[in-house]
Amino acid sequence: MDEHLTEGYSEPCKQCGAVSWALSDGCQFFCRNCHNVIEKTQDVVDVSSFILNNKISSISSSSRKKTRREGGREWMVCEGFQFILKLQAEALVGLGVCPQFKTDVLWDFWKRYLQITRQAYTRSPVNSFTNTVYLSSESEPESAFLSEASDQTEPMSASGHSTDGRSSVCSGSLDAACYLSAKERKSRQLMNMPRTLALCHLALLWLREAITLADLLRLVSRRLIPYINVYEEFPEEMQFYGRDAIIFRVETIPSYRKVHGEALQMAEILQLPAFPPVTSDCLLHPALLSLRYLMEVNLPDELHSLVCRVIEKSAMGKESFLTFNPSKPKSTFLFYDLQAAALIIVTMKLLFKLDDHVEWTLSRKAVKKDDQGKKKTSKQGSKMFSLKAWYMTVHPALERARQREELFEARRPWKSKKVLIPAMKHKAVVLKRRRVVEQLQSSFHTLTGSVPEQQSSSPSSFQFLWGQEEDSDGPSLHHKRLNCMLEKRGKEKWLVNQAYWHTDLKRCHKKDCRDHYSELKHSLPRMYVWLLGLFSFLLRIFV
Amino acid sequence: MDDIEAELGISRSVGNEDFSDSSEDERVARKIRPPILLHSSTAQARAKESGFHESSRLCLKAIRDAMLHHHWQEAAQYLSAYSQTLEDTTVNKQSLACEIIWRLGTEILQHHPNSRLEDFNALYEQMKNSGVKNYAKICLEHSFHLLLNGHIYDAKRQLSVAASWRYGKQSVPQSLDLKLIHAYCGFLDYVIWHMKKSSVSEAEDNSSNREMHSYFRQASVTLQEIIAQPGVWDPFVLSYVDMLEFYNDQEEALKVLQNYAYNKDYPSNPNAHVYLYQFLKRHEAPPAKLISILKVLHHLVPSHELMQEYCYLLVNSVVPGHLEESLPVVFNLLDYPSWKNDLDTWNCLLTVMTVFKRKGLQHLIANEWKQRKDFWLTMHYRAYHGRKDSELNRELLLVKAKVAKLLGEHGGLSSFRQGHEELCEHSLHLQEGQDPGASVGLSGALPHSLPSTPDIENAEITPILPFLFLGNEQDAQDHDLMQRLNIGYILNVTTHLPLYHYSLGLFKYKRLPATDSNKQNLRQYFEEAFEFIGIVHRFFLSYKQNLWTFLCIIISVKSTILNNL
Repeated sequence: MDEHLTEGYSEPCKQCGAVSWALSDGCQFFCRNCHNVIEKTQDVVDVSSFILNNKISSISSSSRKKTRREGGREWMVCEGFQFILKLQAEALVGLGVCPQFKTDVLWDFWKRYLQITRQAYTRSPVNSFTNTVYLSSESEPESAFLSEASDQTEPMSASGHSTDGRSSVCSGSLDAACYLSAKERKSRQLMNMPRTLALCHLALLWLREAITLADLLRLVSRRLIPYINVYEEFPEEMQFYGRDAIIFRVETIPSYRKVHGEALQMAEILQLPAFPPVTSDCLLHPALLSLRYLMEVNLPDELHSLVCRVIEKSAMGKESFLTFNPSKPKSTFLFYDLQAAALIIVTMKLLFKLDDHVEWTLSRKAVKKDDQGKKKTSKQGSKMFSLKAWYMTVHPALERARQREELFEARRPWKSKKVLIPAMKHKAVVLKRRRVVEQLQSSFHTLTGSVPEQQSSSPSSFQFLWGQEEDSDGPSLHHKRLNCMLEKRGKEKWLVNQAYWHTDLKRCHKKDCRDHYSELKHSLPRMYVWLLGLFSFLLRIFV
Repeated sequence: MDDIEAELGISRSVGNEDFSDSSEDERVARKIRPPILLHSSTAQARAKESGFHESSRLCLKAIRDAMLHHHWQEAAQYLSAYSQTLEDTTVNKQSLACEIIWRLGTEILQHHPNSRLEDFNALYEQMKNSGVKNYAKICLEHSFHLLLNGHIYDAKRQLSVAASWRYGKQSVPQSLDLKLIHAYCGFLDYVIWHMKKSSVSEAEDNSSNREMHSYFRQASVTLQEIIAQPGVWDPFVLSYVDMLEFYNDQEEALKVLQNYAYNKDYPSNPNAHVYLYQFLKRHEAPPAKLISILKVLHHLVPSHELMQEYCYLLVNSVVPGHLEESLPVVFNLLDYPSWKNDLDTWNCLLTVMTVFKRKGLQHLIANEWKQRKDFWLTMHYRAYHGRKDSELNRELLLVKAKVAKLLGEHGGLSSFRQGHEELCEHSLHLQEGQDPGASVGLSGALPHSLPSTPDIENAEITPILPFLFLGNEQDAQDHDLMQRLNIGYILNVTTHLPLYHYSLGLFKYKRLPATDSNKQNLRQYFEEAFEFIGIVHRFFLSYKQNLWTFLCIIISVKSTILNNL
């Protein structure tokens, strides 16, 4: 039917290689074989000019009604999520992630998701209120959403959804109702807010970007990536009220575990192929990641070679181990940042034993040796790394940072200026409450006096600053030497500390295996617990 | 000591000096239930809470810390952040947040250097309307605040608005609040009436007079209604009676007061009897009537200040039997430490005793004395008291000495005589010499003439061992001294001295209830004392570097006990 329009274009489809193009009602080309929508439209030939649609795409133009409420128009929940993903992608690109992230990877994942869950780009879309959903765009040349729906189903939908869809649930979007039943959410693998982050995480991983999951969550917490109250940004015509609130309202930043789990699930849903291999020059590689954490916690650079030895011995640096491959049945989805931190902790344990005894003995020795060295050279300050000195530097900085974080958390605004109205009958109450809150805030704000402004949250991936600068957290120990920890025996260098301990290994079932740390915490050496605390603070993993 | 306490009806928890540490702790533990801490939660609850709730918990903690440190600006800043909890979607959290913001907000405004009355008004108005449950309470508080700032008419207006407020069903506590609002409405009418009255008396003006009467009518109607309900309505009753008296309706006033005092439905209220007594006294009622009222009051509050008047009334009464009643009244009064240094009370006792002696009723005195000689000696007649009185109130010392002399005739207590005869003799001697002109010359000589027995009370605090001090009651009271000496533990070997700074929590206390007599078997306390000292000693040894962490044992014993040791 569209042959006359598509015959000028004979490139094979990138996904399946077939040359079988058709035209959607948004005038965009799609492959009849694999339903891949390409960036080509009927009149614009330049393929490379594609960028993610700035305007929100929505239900097929034929069935769209602008008359529902003044200025509003019908929209679906997945459009809301698409808008959020777009904002998040833009924020990430703004932070320095390569622009491909938005245009190709995340966008592809999202299309794939919609297609697989049969929300769009499909001949047989699933929808609770109508058999067909037409997706297209208002802005023709830059269309983002396209429906594959063929013309024969078109007339049905116009009358279909407007009646039963809206009468049952009060919401701005058309299909909020089906997001509210847990059963449907699960069976149809619908989106939720943590999943937007999970998708971002997968896309970042695909690009092998340096932003780890812990970083991502910290950026979210610092509001550098829109997540809390992101619905504020929805365009005017997307009216937002009622049940939509339950879907888009965020009252907590999801935990690391939660997002990781969601990402794993999404990878399964999307049936993703093997991810690009994590090579040793890639920032997710434990060797590089551990270097970053060593700098962060002010440990000497020399430690890095030891960490690398541990990586080598444990075969954790191999590509096959590091690369995530959802298509393989037993592939693990690694916690890259946690793993790097764990490598440092293990190295520290190998080096200092960390049993509240050996490490202090060793640090005393280091100080003694330092004194001897000083007598000989008497040029520089201490050269040797002493764990005690390190602890005395890092601990106060950590406590300060914790305090800062807690007060930041205490002051975090969660509620949006744009009022969420759960139901029409509560509208007056909700609006009044918002007014009261605003008045209270302004009246108490005048009483706060000249409080120093909260430090502008910089998108730095480092939370501590070590060195001579004025606002640094303490002196830098990066150039200290670890000589004391090694001794020569024969030709090789050996660690002075030869013991390594591990907690009792217990058999436990995978199903009811839960948090063992809280049970063990009290029996573990204090120094070890402190070190775990340091890293869990850095990675925002709270136990 | 215990017996007398029971006799005096002092609740045991008040007289805490009589209990050893362990029982003290137990009782405290039983009495105080752990408060619900909103700003902290169990780890379990924490794992489940949302980020929003975590923020509000942390914010509340920050507010609390800022308030405890008197950083009011910081507290205001956090409260401004906290106000978002009003938008909590769970209903009970939201109403809780309302109350928290109301209470903390007013507290912060109260202390904040830059807060104005408008801020208060705005906060009250906002909180009134967002937490419907607390509407009545907040209204009351608001009008109290206005009253404190002297805006009586504004306060009145607030209350009238609150009184006419209706919102759905009234809950029980709400109806109570509304009752109070009603009562204070009437009370404020009275206050305005009172103001008008004083201004009217100066300038006779018909219209303002009429206005005043209209306030009277409003107030009287409301107050009458309120007073008719059982309860404690002291200021309301007084104001109502005041108005009735002004309009010469004594009968009605008397009826109100009698009902207030004697109606069984009302909670027992000593003030009711006081008001009745004062009213009758104002209107010159016969002494018999007054005595009957005070008798009830004496039964309720034996230490009431009116008891002196009661005593004189009884002494001067012609009714047989009244005189005999007067003695226990005044003795009772002096059982209470609040009258310990009151000259008038001692004078009263002296008068009564002289009257009794004159009438040959010494056996009654002896009877009263027998009951309380043990603790009166320690409470009123120790050398320490003598010295203190001589410094502060010479006259009191004289009266006390005279009383002691009269009592000494009955007591037959050799130790008392030994200790105080000299004092008594001296005081009498002093009195004779105390002519208007001679008092100046004597003032310097007096302290030297006080008993000069080798008394531990005059001794300085003495280090016995590097970590062990011996001190007396004065030292035990001297908080600064003990802090200076780094004393941490105090062993109190008396039955009567309180653990002075127990409530501060700075010192660890141990009491060994040994009495100050040669019959006391001290051996039973040795073990306990050694154990306590031993604990402290070990503590001392383990902190050798810090030689200043010490303890002190304060033993307030006289030489008799020291000899036994």
